[in-house]
Amino acid sequence: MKTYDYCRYSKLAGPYLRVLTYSLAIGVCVALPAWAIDAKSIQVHGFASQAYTLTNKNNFFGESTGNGSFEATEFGVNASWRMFPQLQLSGQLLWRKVGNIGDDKIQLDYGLVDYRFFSNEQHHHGVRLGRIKNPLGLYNDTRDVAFTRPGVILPQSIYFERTRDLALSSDGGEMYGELRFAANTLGWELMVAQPRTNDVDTEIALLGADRLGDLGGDTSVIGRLTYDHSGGRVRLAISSARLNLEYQPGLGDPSGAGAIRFTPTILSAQFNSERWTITSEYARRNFLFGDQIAYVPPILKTITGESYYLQSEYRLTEKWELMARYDVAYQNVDDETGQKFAALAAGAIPAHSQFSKDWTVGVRWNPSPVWMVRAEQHWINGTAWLPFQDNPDRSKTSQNWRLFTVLVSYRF
Amino acid sequence: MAAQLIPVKLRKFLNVKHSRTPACCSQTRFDGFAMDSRETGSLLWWMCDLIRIEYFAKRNYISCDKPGKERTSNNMRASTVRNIGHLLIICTALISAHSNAADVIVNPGVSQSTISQNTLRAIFGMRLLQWPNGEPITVFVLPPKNPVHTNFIKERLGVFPHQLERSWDLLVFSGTGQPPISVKSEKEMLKRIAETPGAIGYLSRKDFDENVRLLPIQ
Repeated sequence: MKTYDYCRYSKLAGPYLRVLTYSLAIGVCVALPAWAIDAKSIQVHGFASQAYTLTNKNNFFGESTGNGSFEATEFGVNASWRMFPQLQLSGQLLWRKVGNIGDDKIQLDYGLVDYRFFSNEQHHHGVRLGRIKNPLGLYNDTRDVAFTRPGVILPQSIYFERTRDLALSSDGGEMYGELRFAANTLGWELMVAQPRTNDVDTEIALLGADRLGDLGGDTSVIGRLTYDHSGGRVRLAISSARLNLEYQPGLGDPSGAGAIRFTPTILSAQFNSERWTITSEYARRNFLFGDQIAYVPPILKTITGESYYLQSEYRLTEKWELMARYDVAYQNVDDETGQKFAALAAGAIPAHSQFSKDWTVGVRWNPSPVWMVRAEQHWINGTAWLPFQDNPDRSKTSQNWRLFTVLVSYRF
Repeated sequence: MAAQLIPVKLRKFLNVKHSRTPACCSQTRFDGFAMDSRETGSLLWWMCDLIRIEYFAKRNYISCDKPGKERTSNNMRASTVRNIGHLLIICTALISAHSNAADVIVNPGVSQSTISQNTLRAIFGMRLLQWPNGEPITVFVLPPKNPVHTNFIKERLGVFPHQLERSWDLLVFSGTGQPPISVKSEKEMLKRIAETPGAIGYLSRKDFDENVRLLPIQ
C-alpha cells in the first residue's frame, strides 16, 4: 500500500499540505461545472517499453545470464489539464517490472498543480505543489521514458538503477523560473520536499542490506540551475540535493536510530548540432551516516563517491542514430580500487564492487515517430552499479562482464 | 550557378545556347533552405529569363523553317505538349524551391507587431504561454517529418528538430507542461490559426487571407 500513500509528508508539513491538497480538490470539483472544459486543454500521453537483456556474467534486470531476461517492462500514462495559461494539473501513473528492483505495483510517478504567478516576455516564475519529479542532472526528470533516454539504460554512474526510488520524485513544493535575455536562457528550480523511499530498495542501496527497521525520507532540498545558449546549442547545468533520511530500528535490530544525509552534486554539459549531441556529466556523491547506524563495514561514516561519463550521439538519418559512451563510477574516492573496502568486508563483498568502467556502443532506429528500437552493447569492468537486488550473493559477482540489450518502445 | 542547376539535356531541349545568368542568381539554392524574398525574386527573374530565351529560340526555329511549309497539326501538338511540359518543370522547380521557407503566422487578434527569435523559441518550446496582454498562446505545428516544419525550426527558430522534440517530451513526461497541437497540413494550420484566438503557427504559402496575419521576426 506504501506506493499509493500519497500523503506521506513530514510531520510538520504534512497537515498543511494535506489541507491544501483537499481544498484544491474541493475547489476543482466545485468550480468544474462553471468551466466548459476545453478538449484541447486536456491531453493524455503515455509510453510502453519492453527490453531484453543478456549478460555473460552477473545479473542485470532479472536472470540475464544464460538465455537472457525479458524482465524489463515499463508502462506509463499521464494526463494534463491546462485550466488557464497560469495553471496546470498533471499526473502520471507508472508500472514497472525491472528485475527485482522496486515493487511491481502501479505508482503515482507525479501528481502536481503548477501555478505560474508571473510571466512576461523576459521571464516567468511559478510554483509546483504535490508529487514532483526531482530536478537532477539532464535525464532524471524523465528517466523512465525510453524515448527521452540517450540509450537503453542511462549512464549508470549517475543514474543508478538500484537507488532509483530515491531519485524519482518527492512530495512537497517547488519554486521555478526562467530568465530570457538575447540568445540566452537561465532556468532555476528549488524544491523542498520529502523524497519517496521504497523501504527495501533504499535500505539495500544505502545500508547494504534489507534491515530490520524502517528507512524513510525526511524533509530535503533539491536545486538545479540551467543555462541554455542559442536554443540549446550549448546547455550547462548544476544540480545539487541534500536528501535526508531517517532510520528507525526494528525489534532486535543491531543498528540504532539515526539520520543519513546524501548530498549529490551534478555538473552537466551538452553540445548540440544537427547531427551530433555530445554530453558529459560529472557527479560527486557525499554520504554521511549517523553515529548509531551500523553500516557495512561499520568504520565508514562518511563516503564520497565520484561519477562521470562522456557520451556522443550521431544522427545518421532521420531514422538511424548511433551512440558511444564511456562511463566511470567510484564508490569511494579514497578507495578507488576497492582494496580497503574488500579488506574490511572480509571477502563477503569483492573489491570490484567499489568501481565500474563501462564502454558502450548503441544504435537507435525510429521506424515511425511513435516507435523506437534500440540495441546496445556494454563492456564493463567493475560492479559498482550492479543491482544487489538481482545479485543477492555479491561474493559470486564477476569483475569483467558484458551486457547486451535490445529495447522496443511505443509512445502516444 | 543557376544555369548549372538545369541538366544539360534539359538545356539542349530548351534550346538555351547562351544562358545568361544574372549575378544575383548565384545565391539561389534549390534545397529549400533559407530562401528570402530577394532570392525568391531572383529565382523568378531567372525563370522568366529562361522562358524568354526559349520563346525567342522557338520563334527562331519556326522562322528558319522552309518557306511555305505549313504548320501541321502534328507540329502544333508537339509544340503545345512541349510548352506544357516546360511550364510544369518550371512550376515544380518554383514550388519545390520556395514551398519550405515558412513564416510565422498568428491569429489577427494578436496585438504584437514583431517578435524576437528567443521569444519565438520560448513560445514554440512551450515555455512562454501568454502574449504580453495576458491572452493565452495556442501553438500549432506540422508533423515532425514535414519539410516545412523542419525548415521553420532550423531557419526561423535556429534550433534543431531533435532538440525541440526532446524539450516537449521533458514537459509531457514530467508534468510541467504540454506539447503543441499537431495539425496534418498547412491548410488545416491556416484554418485553425484563423479560428483560434491567440494562435500561432507557420506557413510556407503566401496566399493566405486576412483571417491570419504574418508576424515578422525582429
